[in-house]
Amino acid sequence: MWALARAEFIKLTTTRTALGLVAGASAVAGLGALSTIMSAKPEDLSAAVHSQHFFMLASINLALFALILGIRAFTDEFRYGSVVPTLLVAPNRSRVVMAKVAISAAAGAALAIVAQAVMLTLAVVLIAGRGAELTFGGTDLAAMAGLVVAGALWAAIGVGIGALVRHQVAAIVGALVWVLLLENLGAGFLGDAGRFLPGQAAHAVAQASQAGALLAPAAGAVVLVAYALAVAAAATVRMGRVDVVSA
Amino acid sequence: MEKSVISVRGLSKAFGRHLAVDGLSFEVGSGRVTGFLGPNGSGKTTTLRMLLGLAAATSGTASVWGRPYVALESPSRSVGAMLDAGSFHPRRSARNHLRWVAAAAGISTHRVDAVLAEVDLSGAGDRPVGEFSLGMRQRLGLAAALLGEPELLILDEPANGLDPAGIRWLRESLRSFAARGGTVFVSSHQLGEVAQMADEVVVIRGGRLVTHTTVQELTTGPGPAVRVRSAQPERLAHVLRAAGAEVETRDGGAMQVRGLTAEHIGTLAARGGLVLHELVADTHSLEDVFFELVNQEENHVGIG
Repeated sequence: MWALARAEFIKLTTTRTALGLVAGASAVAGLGALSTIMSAKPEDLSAAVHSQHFFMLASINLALFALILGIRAFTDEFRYGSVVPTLLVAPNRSRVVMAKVAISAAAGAALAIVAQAVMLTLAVVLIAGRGAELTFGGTDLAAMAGLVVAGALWAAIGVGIGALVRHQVAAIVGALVWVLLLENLGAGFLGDAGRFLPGQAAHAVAQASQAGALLAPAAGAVVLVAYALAVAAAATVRMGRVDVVSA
Repeated sequence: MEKSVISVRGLSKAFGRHLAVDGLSFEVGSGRVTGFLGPNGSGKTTTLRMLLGLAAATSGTASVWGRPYVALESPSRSVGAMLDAGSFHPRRSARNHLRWVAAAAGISTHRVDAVLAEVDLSGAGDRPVGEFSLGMRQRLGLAAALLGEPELLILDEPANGLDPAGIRWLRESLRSFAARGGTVFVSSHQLGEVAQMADEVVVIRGGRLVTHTTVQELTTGPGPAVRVRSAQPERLAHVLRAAGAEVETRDGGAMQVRGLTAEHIGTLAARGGLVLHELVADTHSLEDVFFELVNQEENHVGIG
């Protein structure tokens, strides 16, 4: 298992895909901070980090980038055919799924850490520039850690989606449509039950308080972990049955 | 009887209503090169995919050393396989590709440079595979197969995209691998290519076995014919038939003779004082043999 995880780590770090996604996530998080801070009233900016508008935006955007990071762990392999050598070396497909989930989750967490660092550095400077002061409290630290946990879980979910869908464009477009459109529609439509949707659960983990009525952070984490496990289980079953043919 | 390295028994694979592989059975013995021949679309790759656990068989079994590939403890250390020359991330370097394969198989990274040198890619190790020619990708695929110092190599069309020098290199590599006691199972749609490196061939068509024989038997076939033209065709035909040859006479004093060599025919003609205008051994090309074989089978069983 350790050997497979090492192999997945090498795969992840020997193309520019992951680096590009981390850079993209950081840029988008930074832009989110820039646009919301510059357009806000100065008196609204002297607030806790997790209640800021940019933090809520980051909770959505990081979900997207972490999902794509996870999705590509499998879809790149199907797209370029490298799934063949992968399964020749490791014919036990469930272990391949597990290794990818583990490494992608770690990468999703790293992505959230880097993007948050960029965003918060920018936010501190911009808010100070507007004559306000960003306040950091204990809840903020928990919220920031929550964003990292959500990043890891989104990436894990992405791995499962990638294995289930296999077609890269379809999987990524599907993820975009879900995160940016269906999730919000669903949350509005389902009322209280909408809190159990994955995106809402992730907001709960990150305590992105502008998202509205959410589960408690721990409950959100449990729900998001359940999604990750369910998708990984489905992916394991699917991968166990699929015939691997030419790229 | 020696133990089989590869054993395929009653193997079938259906895609919808189409049977890509149809009740295929054969064994591959150790320490030799066995060619796996068939026209494009005859089911070779599908068979190899089932053998390597990449696709599930509809019925029948395929095993290596008596076990399914997926049940092998550390498959890369006993079986080196290469399918599809395109199975690489185009933006990952050759060395990094081999690094992850080595890591997954628990093989020392020292082997990476060793196999790159073995396939003559040391200078290109740090280039992204997307910049490689098809021949270079084939070499890289072979390098990955050799990483675990396996006893068995299973290669799907490894000569595709290789230039004549590359094909010679491949032939010599595989022959020396077998000479060291290794077993090679190599697919191709070109008999000529395989005949020079293989000891035996398994020929399939429409997913069914056509023949499993030695290359020597296959190429000897029904016996070569000799084309002869003489000023005294009737007398020569008589002499040759008396010597046990099969003679088919043609117009203009020409005839086709089977069962005697050109040298033998020349000697008989000289002894009889017969004048020869032409004496040519018609070599039976390997490609002819191959087409005859698969066409016979086609007429016999119809196209699957």
